[in-house]
Amino acid sequence: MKVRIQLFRQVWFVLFFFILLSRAAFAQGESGYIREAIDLETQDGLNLLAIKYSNGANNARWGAVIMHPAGDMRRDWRLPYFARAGIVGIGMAGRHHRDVAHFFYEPQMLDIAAAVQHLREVDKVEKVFLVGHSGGGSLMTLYAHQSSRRKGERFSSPVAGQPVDWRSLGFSKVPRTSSVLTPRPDLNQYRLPPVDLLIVSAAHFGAGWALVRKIDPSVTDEKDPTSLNSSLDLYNPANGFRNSPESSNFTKNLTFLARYQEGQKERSWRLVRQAQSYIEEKKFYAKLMQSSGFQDLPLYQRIQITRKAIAQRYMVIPRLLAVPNFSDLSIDPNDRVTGSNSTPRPDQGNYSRYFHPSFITPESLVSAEAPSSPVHLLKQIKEVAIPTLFICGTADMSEYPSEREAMFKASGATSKSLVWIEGADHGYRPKGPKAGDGRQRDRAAKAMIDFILKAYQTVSK
Amino acid sequence: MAQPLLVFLGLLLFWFTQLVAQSEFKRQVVDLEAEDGQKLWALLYTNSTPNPSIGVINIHPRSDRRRDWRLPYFAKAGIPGLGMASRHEKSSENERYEDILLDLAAGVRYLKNKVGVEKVILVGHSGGGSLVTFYAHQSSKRPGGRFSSTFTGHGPNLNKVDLPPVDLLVVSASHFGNAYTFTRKIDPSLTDEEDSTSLDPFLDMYNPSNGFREPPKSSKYSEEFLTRFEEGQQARARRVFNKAESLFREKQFYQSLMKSSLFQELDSYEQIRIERKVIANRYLVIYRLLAIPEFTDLSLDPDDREVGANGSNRPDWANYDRASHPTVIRVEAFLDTYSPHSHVNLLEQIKEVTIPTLFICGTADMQEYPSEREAMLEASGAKVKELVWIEGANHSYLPQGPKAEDGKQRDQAMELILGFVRRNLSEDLK
Repeated sequence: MKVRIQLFRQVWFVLFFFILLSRAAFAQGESGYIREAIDLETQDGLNLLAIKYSNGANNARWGAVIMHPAGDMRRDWRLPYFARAGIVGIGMAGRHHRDVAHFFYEPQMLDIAAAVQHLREVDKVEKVFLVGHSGGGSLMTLYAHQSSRRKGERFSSPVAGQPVDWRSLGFSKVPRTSSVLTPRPDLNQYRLPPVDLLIVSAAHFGAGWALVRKIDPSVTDEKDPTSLNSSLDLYNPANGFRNSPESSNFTKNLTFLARYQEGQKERSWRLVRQAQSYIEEKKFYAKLMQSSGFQDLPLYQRIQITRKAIAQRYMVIPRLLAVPNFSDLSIDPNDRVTGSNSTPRPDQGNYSRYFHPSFITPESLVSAEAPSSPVHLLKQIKEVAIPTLFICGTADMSEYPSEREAMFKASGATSKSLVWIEGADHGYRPKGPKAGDGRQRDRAAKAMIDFILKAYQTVSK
Repeated sequence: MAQPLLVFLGLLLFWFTQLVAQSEFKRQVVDLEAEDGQKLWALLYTNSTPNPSIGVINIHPRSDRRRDWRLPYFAKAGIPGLGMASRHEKSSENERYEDILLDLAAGVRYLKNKVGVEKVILVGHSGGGSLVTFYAHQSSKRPGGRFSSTFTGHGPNLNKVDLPPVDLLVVSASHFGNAYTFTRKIDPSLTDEEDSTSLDPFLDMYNPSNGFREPPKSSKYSEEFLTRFEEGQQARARRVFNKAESLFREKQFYQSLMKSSLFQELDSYEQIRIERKVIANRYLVIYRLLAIPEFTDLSLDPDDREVGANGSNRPDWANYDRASHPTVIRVEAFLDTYSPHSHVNLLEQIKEVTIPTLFICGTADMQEYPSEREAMLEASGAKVKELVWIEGANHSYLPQGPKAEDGKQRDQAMELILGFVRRNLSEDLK
């Protein structure tokens, strides 16, 4: 009888633990991490769908946020690595993802703030770090910078400003239905919870800076995508171009690169001036609306003036894939092969592919995607004091050594590190002559986690 | 001896939480891959009903339906659902429905193979209605009977892909397709496509002398104006089509040049320059796409709506300040998706869709009107078909307008949808 009870007891126990274990195993999946869809409410009333990665233990001390201004980072490859290392991570798609046409950096600070707050309040983590990859590097640096400043010292609005005050259109509260009339946030009026560590991965200095680096100066007519000044054509054999996989030689002609870079600046600023003139025109009419005589005008005249003040233009900007380093491997050399990060044939991609900002509002161009933008990693990183890791692959085809050295040097962090992952491309996949054993992602993840743990020990002392 | 008792209590608790979980739902991130390799992710909504036999998919060509409000209702009723975002999410510049059919097929396969359902419902809301109808139509044809190519030749050959069939269609607050709405909403008073505020006041529906009154007052347009306006819309739409076609034909011209013997005689840089003419990306910028007289004149196709468009109570402003698809679009996507060359036409395709079909719409919808819904119902080739109206519901089935009443429009809409599903797939829903 006693034996039977014991047997009975064991069966129950085995069954019970089997159920518990199977549920835990199901939750963790085969890969050692779980994903959860979460809804993040921003302070200005947006609700963003994000994915949270964890190992299911609910005791993480570190939290990570990863976001990019235009890309969807909700399934970023780093997040499973972090989760398995006991770090809970949120993969984000910000409000402007897949929508560079209407992109501003400043509103996205509120998206990041929502994720940072979630990690602190829901997951109760002690420390939060930000990961900015590629175009996300300048975004996350900006957050680290702005959140470290007191209210009153932050950016008050994008440089293009607010062409028309929505109150002058008769709204009593903030309109929610229209992209242009929706006021852009003054960062001094919102909570930007501070963060504890920054990872800048394969990043450039900002979208505005990158425009000048990549723009094709041989365009002579913005309305004609094949208009051409062949003496400024990077992809003209007479200027030293050779087709992939051969490396080009743009330094053979001593004046070419200097003329080319001058042309890039010239075209970029010409676009800025064009955009500014559109914005100025809107502001002119917005001012007319504020004047006392406006209300005395007949209705249709008021309507026509209002239209001039609010009308949204779009600029189409052809050929944005012309960085000399793509084809000439002797410029800022590393372990890369010829090509850009999006295509092995940038000479064709320059014409055929979308590359931000192929089309954009004048407001976003001036504020975020042109050299007139105040967002510049080299400027902001000087005032970011939290531990900062710069990391990049040596086979990255669009992010080069000299830029990383400049960032590292400019960084105002007392604890900073610059790590190179040998033979890793822009996605930390193996590429080029140093591809080796192909474990670049493992090594990049280890470098990041090691840096975090080291900083964490320092912080907790 | 206390241990078995504890274990028993534990199991009781477990069973109880399972029961509670059944009336709730949970969301799960799901990775999908379309047949052409396109990677996607969706949210799967389930409750703990064992072995569900029916699943549902909600998808829209451009907007993210992963968190569609209907999915929790379906899940709680024991119908697992996939909320999807197509590959062209938020990017109407590349919009092409033929591509999206592959995304939808991946969702249907997931529900059948991984979740284990036998039958699949498609819910198409707004612009999603013509998309799911297109899927139902194409998937019901055998390979060989489907569209093999778009007008420009971009996009997949639908005869060569797997499009698993579906079992029930819900067409919610939908229009007939992008090609139809493009001409319906285009503002004919724009005289210069390059100048976003260029104006012919004679064709301006937001001009007081044509009958416009400032919202929220209703406008009143004369028959004579409406005729002129519609003719103007057709004329402007035609101008845009012609421009798109001529840009496309120019590319084709250079493409044929590349195949000629002349091309072989050119030096490499000359060849490159001709190749560029073929591959160069061309965008159309199309301003002012929010001008439907029904927005402002409530006496046209009347229902319980207020003045305004979906998403703006001032369409007269939104027409100028807000992008409405396809404000910026590639020439090829425009021709395949928004021009008369588009294959997507709900009114045509619904004739050959025989699965049970429910048409549903709110009576306070500001952009989907009664006469269009009646035309769909009449055209539908389904043996079992119904048209239901949700009183006082706007485009999102939220209460709006004079008939808003108790505000339970979403509950009512889902009760009707689930009732239709139970009646027509009843042997499958235990």
